[in-house]
Amino acid sequence: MKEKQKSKIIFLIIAGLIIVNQNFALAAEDQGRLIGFRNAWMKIMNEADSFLRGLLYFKQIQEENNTLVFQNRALESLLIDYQSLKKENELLREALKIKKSDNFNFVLADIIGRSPLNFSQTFVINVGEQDGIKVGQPVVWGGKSLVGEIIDVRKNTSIVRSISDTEFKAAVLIGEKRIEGLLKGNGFLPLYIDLVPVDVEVNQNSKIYTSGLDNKFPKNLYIGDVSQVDKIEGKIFQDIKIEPALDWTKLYQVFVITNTN
Amino acid sequence: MKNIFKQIIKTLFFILFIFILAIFQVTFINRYYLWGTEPNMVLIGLLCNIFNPNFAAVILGAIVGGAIYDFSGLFNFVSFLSFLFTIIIFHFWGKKYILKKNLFLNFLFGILGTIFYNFFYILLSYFLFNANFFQYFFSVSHLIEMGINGLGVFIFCLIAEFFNLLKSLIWKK
Repeated sequence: MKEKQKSKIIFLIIAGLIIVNQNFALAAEDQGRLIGFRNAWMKIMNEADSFLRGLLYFKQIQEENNTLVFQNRALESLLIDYQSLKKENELLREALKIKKSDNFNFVLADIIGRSPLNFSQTFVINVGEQDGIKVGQPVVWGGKSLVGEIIDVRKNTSIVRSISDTEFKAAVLIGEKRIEGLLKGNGFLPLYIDLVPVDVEVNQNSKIYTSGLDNKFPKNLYIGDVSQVDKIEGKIFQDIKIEPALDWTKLYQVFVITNTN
Repeated sequence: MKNIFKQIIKTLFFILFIFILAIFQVTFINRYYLWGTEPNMVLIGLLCNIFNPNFAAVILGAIVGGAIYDFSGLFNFVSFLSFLFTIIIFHFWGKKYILKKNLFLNFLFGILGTIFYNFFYILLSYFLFNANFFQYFFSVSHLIEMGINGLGVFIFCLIAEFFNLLKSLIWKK
């Protein structure tokens, strides 16, 4: 009897919690009420993450730091050359009236949070509305390699959907033949390209770039290489698997392109 | 009075244990993938304690772990409710149908717990936030996650058993 009563009480408490929370979750449009708390939480977690990493990889970080200091000095001297070349290039462009093909504005952002579960391949960055970030803007790293897109913008933070997320889609071109296809995230790796007919020859290791045809991403953002091509009998489209150029889980910083339109 | 105090201390320790697991998951584990998936540390910790006589502590642990996951992820209250549903179902079913506890049963609970938790998570995120994660549920990665979580629960329970044995040996002396 006592056991039954106990379980009844537990069920009642849980049912109450569910009703309260569901109302709260549904009523709080865009989870607006909790944004402040979430932002503060993300910052705390970021600090905890840095602390943990510092403890675990102290020696590795120290070695990396020494290498980076050395590299930085070398790059600083190269930068002087680059700046003079850039100026010269701009003057020549102006003289010849050549239109620049991609003059992107980049905003550097730190990754301050990652989804803890396998379902959504998303992460949080520390730039938001105040920095000119808008929904749909592409996120890149390492020489215009596509990492993802902005799906939610708040005052100081934004959520990025990575290219491996199930909801991610982009129009792409494959290899030098510039075969059109649709890149889809899997929720896990590898990614795959859909809508490429079986009669088209796709080579392994072909490079994948955005085509810009989806009016979502600018063209020529690098995504990765073709790792496997399967032509299954009875299917009208090929199964093309892609190895992405970047593993976003290993990144700590990204660039947001803010002037795609 | 002393018993109640002891119970409170045990509950607080359990919540702290789940809290540490959740922090570990949202800061460290989510950066390292095992065969394309990451283990669910809070779920492992909770399933390991499914037969804990202090069930209120397990529920509080599920609330704390779920809240940390939710605030670090995309949606509010989804993980929190999924943990609660899974823990309650497993606790009462386990109580009703399992006569003799076995260490290998934990492995099975880890697998089934992952299925239940992910099912609730996918369903709730679909109905509350219109997010479609059904593809993951039928993927190979989900199978791998089941195996990893099952193994995780087994290892955690093995460690707990070892400590229990050690405690009983010291107590005897």
